[in-house]
Amino acid sequence: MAGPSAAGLPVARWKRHIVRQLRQRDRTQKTLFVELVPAYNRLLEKAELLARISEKLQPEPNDVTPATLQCPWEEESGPDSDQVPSPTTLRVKWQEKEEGLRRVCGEMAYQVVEKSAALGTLEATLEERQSRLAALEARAAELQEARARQARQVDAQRAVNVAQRAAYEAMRAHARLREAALRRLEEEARDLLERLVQRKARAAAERNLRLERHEKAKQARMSLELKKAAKRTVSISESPNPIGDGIREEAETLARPAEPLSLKSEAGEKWKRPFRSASATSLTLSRCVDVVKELLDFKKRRGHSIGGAPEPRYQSIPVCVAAQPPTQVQDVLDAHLSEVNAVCFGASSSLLATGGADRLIHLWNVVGDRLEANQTLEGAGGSITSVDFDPSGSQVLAATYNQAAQLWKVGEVQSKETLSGHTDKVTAAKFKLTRHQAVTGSRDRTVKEWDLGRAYCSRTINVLSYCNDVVCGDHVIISGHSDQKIRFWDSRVPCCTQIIPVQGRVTSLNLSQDQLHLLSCSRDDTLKVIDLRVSNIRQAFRADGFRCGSDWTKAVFSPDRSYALAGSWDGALYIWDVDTGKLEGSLRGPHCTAVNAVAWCSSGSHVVSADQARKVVLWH
Amino acid sequence: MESSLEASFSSSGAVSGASVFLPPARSRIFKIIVIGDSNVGKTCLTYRFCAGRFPDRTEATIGVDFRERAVEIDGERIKIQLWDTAGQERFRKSMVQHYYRNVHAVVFVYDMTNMASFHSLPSWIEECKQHLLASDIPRILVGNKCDLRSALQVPTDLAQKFADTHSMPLFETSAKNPNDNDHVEAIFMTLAHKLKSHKPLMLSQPPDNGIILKPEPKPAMTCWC
Repeated sequence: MAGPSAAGLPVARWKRHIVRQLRQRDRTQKTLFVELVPAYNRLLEKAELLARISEKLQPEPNDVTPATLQCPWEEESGPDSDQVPSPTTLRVKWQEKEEGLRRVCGEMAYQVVEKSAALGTLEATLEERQSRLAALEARAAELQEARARQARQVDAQRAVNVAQRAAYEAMRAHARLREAALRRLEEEARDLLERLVQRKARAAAERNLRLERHEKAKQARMSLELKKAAKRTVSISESPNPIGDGIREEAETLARPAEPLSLKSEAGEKWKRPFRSASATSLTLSRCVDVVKELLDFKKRRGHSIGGAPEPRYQSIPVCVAAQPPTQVQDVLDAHLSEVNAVCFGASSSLLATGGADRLIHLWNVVGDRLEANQTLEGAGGSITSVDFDPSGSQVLAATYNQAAQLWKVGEVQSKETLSGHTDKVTAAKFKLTRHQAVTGSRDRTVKEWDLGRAYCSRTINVLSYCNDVVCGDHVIISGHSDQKIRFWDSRVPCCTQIIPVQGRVTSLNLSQDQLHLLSCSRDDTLKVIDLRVSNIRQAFRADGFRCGSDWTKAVFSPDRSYALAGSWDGALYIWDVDTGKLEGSLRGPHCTAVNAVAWCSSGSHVVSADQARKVVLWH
Repeated sequence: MESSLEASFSSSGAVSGASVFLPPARSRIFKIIVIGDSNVGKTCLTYRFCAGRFPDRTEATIGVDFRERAVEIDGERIKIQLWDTAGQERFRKSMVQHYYRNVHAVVFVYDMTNMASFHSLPSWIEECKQHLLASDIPRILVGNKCDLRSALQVPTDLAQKFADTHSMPLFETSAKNPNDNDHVEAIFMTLAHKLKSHKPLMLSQPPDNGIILKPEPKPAMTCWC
């Protein structure tokens, strides 16, 4: 049995196959039955014949019994019947035989039926098996085919795998190389970055260095310029200069600008840096004044740098361009009934106030070269130790022995206000540059700030020692003490900002008009100039014969700060040149006793001195 | 703008050209450092001021880049030297002391679209405090990228409050926005003005006044100081 060919329609094939098989089987097995069938037919015929014979024979025994024995069967069995030739036995025998035959025939028929049934079942099982076989075969073929396909696929896959593996190996090797390269590059990058950063750092350092050099060069240039300028800086009054003479007599009272800013910008345009020394000769007076104003503005700005609204200030500030040291006596007066302790010029330079131990303050007009009595201010409770005009010249403040300071209006005889609160004699009372404010110093070891508008003490500063004199700038109060120290108090800070020691009891303090220098007089017979910008003692003035006569001997700057003036115990006046530090000269005149106080008018033209023997002297 | 000079590393590295590079003796130089987180736009800001435009593309600054621009303020020629510093820690760690040396002003920059850059400002201020000797160096706070209105994360009032507590003026600007070309410039010019008027009595002032006075025939002077 060859399987159906792989190609072609399998169904038709197996059908055909089955048909063929069946035919073949038919052919082979038919032969077996072919003989059986005619034999059976013959048997049937014989049986029929016998049946007919037996029918005929049945009546014969009745009538002609021996006649019927003449049949072939009888003839055939004649010999037997010869032995027992009775018809009945024969008939029995026949019947028996017939019966046997019939039985055989039935058996055989049954067998035939049985066999054909078996054949049918066999055929059916065969058919079934064959179909199953065919199906299985087909399935096997299919599976085989699939297997072949799979095998092919596996092969292909394997080939691919091999190729891929090779590729993978190659790539891995490549990757390793690449990785190494990457590592190298990374290292290189790190290295480069580091070098770059280093170079950048070097560049930055170099930049810084260059900037520093630049700065240093500029500073060097600057200091050179400063040095040059400093060498050239000479006082006007010393240099013979025709314009200076003209200016000398001039005192200018300036109206302060309503808005300092506009002026400042204007001045700033003209004078980029007004704080440096400027040539006075090239200045017109107004420009000169601008410079001063700018200076004051600047100071004001500095003072207010922390903030706060500026307080109202006096509207006019006297300015002296150049002062001339006095040379001769113009007028001598016995002004008071006893010792004259204080003398002060008003802002206009034509009004002079003197205060004495006789509890009186006299106002004098400076008329030409004479002093004319103007008015006497009364009501002081004790000996006057200090008098001061306010910057507008309309008020006089005096400190007295009876532990108070008193305020007069010029033109009114009686005291307007009494500032009481000190517990010992008041040694100094000064107006501040801001309106309605004053400062007093006392031997009760306090300095008090006063609000004159309400006449109350706005602040009490504990100054630790007898205060002999006090001066005030914009925001600074400076007090001179018996413990040989000068103390600085900021009006915004509660404690002492600075202490400068000197070698004797401080008798007097005087602030230059630009508020940058302080002149102190002390009992070691020395005048000292203190530069307030750097807060150190810049110069010290001494002279043979100069001796400080009392604890309240006053020394003053000339209004242009070119000179320092003080009176000695023997009645002589000593004048020092601040620029050179040398003694300019000493003046002996009508004073026979110690000079207590001196004053220099703000125009710079007159000097007044007052002594312990009631005398007041006007100098020119 | 015309006088702006992109002083890159390579050009400044040429030490031999230092004498050429030195500014004319009279002009003052202000060193201003620009500080802030990475990617807040320090480079763009400085580039905008010095070159007048927004840079096409920038990379992370390494160490420091120098940019200079000469300006004229009140008739005085002033050179503003901006130090565009690196924001990334690894690019700046060895440079910090150079940044703060003799610096005249400090500009703190944050990114208005990035809250984190705002929140790290205190650490920058702290660093500045640690390295600066003088406490009165002018400092300003600049919020960059204000043109990205939809992405803004740092509200102005918050920034203003922060600036107030550290007493710095606050500016919100954009280095990119072509419309407010003047704003970036105005910020730096404000700073330059402030620097110029700062400490007017310092010795570092140009000594030109003395030079002007020199030809004058009269030597007599009044010293006002």
